[in-house]
Amino acid sequence: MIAEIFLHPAIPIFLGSLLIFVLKNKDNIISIGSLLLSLFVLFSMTGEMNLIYNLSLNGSIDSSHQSLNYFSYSRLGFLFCLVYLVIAILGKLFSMYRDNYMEKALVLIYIGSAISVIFSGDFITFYIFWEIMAIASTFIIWSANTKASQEAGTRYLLIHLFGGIILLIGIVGLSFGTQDLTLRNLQGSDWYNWFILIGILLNAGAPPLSSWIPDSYPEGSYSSTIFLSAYTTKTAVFALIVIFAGTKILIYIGLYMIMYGIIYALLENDIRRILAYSIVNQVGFMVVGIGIGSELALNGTASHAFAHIIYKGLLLMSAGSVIYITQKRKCTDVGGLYKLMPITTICAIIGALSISAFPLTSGFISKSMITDASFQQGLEFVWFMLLVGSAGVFLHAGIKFPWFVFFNKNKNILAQDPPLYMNIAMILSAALCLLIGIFPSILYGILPFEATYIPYTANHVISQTHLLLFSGLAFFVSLKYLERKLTITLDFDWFYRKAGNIINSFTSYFLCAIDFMTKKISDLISYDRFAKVENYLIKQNNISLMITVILIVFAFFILLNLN
Amino acid sequence: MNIFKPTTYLIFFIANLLLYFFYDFGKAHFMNDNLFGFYPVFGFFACLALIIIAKVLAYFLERNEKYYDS
Repeated sequence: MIAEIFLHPAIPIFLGSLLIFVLKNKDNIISIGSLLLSLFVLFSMTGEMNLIYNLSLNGSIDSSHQSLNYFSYSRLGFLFCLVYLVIAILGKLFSMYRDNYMEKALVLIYIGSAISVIFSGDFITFYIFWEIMAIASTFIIWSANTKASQEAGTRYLLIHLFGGIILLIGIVGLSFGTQDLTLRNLQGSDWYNWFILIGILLNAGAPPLSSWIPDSYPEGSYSSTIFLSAYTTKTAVFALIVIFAGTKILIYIGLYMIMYGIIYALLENDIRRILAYSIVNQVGFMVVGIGIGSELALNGTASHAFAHIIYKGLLLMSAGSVIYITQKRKCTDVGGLYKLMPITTICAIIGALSISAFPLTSGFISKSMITDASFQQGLEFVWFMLLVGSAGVFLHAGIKFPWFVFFNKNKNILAQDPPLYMNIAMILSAALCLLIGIFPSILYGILPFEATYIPYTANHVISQTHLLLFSGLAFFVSLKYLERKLTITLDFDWFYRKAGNIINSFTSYFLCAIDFMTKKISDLISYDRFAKVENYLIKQNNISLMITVILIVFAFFILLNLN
Repeated sequence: MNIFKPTTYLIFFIANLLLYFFYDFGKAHFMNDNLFGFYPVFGFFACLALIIIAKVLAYFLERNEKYYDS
């Protein structure tokens, strides 16, 4: 039994993170060592041994009500776990020079819990690791140690705890409704299905709360953003594939996310926020694929998630290098870096071409599966919007990001390529993007369904190249209007950052009035001790607003159960 | 460097468009996308439309970057 527990790929990672707290100055070696060990465990599960592990590891801890299944192997789980470990190793290489052992240990906990979510077989295990992931990622954001990161991390935590509660309500409802908590495809319009869907979509960055991604991820340190971008949203994508494949409403949610990401990224000035908006955009493509739900679409979603994690990691590494070297993070502050940072520039361009699905890059062989699936299902409007989306990706991430950072006007900044390991990490990621793009069979061999898709047809190559090149032309034609200024764009977070404050100041006045009255009455009791705590809580505006919202949701839940 | 000038880019595109004289797309997906120059025209105007929508939205939603600090 104990030997079997060690065969879970997350175990070496969790142990590694504990070890880092003990041996603080060996953090890099421990990180990479534990990830490599985990990769070894993952590969030892495939092949002939597979079935035995499946049988012996399924259904392990029995409680009186519900058997928890912490390990349930699937092809999809293998695919996600593989790419999680690959980007983890590359990211760890990149963050070799980051001197913060806490962050490195937390990143390992974050990765381990994401992998545990992937392999969980029931909703309770799923939920537990889902929440560990949220908490670990909050600490990762906080470990950047800036005021902005403290605030952004708090908002991030509140949103995710809120999402977690919604998910928990759904799971409790599911438990009462069906007496079965195995992780499975949920169809039908029972109320608890909606709660679970909303809880998961919130982590995927779906509207209206998409703004947490660009709000929080760019506030992490230059190295931790790579990890943050890879796990939370893609684990949500994984959960959606497993639980809600073929739910039609996801198509339209995904289309909204695609357009939202493009339009906001076009208006953005912060380098990493551009890339954060493009995470929403890319996850939108995946959500559309899940909504279509055919085998081709799900294959497309899985392969797009795989490709996306690597090229987004690459793009954030190049952005991280620029920030690490120049200490500047805005488009208006940088420019003309291509002569000074040639390796970073080339890697960023490869990443940018991959995200825009140029032929011979990894995006080309994955995204087109989703577009073609929409065509096969006869969804004309969806096909049309995906095409607009594909053009828009090139506009906002494929060309805007490299243009404003590495070309544009030379701002006479002193810079050079980053140190050795950061370069190696970027070059390896870029090589992976090209490798998958040139030899798609590597990726197609491990997809959840059998892949017979052929990406390199003359039609497809020519149409995609033309679409992208002329999108680029549109960018240069309207370049004058796309020059950035020192602005931000309001998003849904306005409601909890500004409007929330107004509501809260009103409620605090109201509470103060009550306090004043009660103070007269309660002078005899030792009042001051309570008053301090209460005043502190009232000052935490966001917390009180979120508690109010949660209470409303709970009230709604109780009302639903009244017969 | 001259290679990054938009005019060079434009000349390259027009040359690229000539490919359509030699290539037959066969069966259309939707919307007659096998017609001459469908994808270039689509890509160009889709992006222009996106930029226009973004600029209209910016008119209402753009604020100074210190907005949340004040």
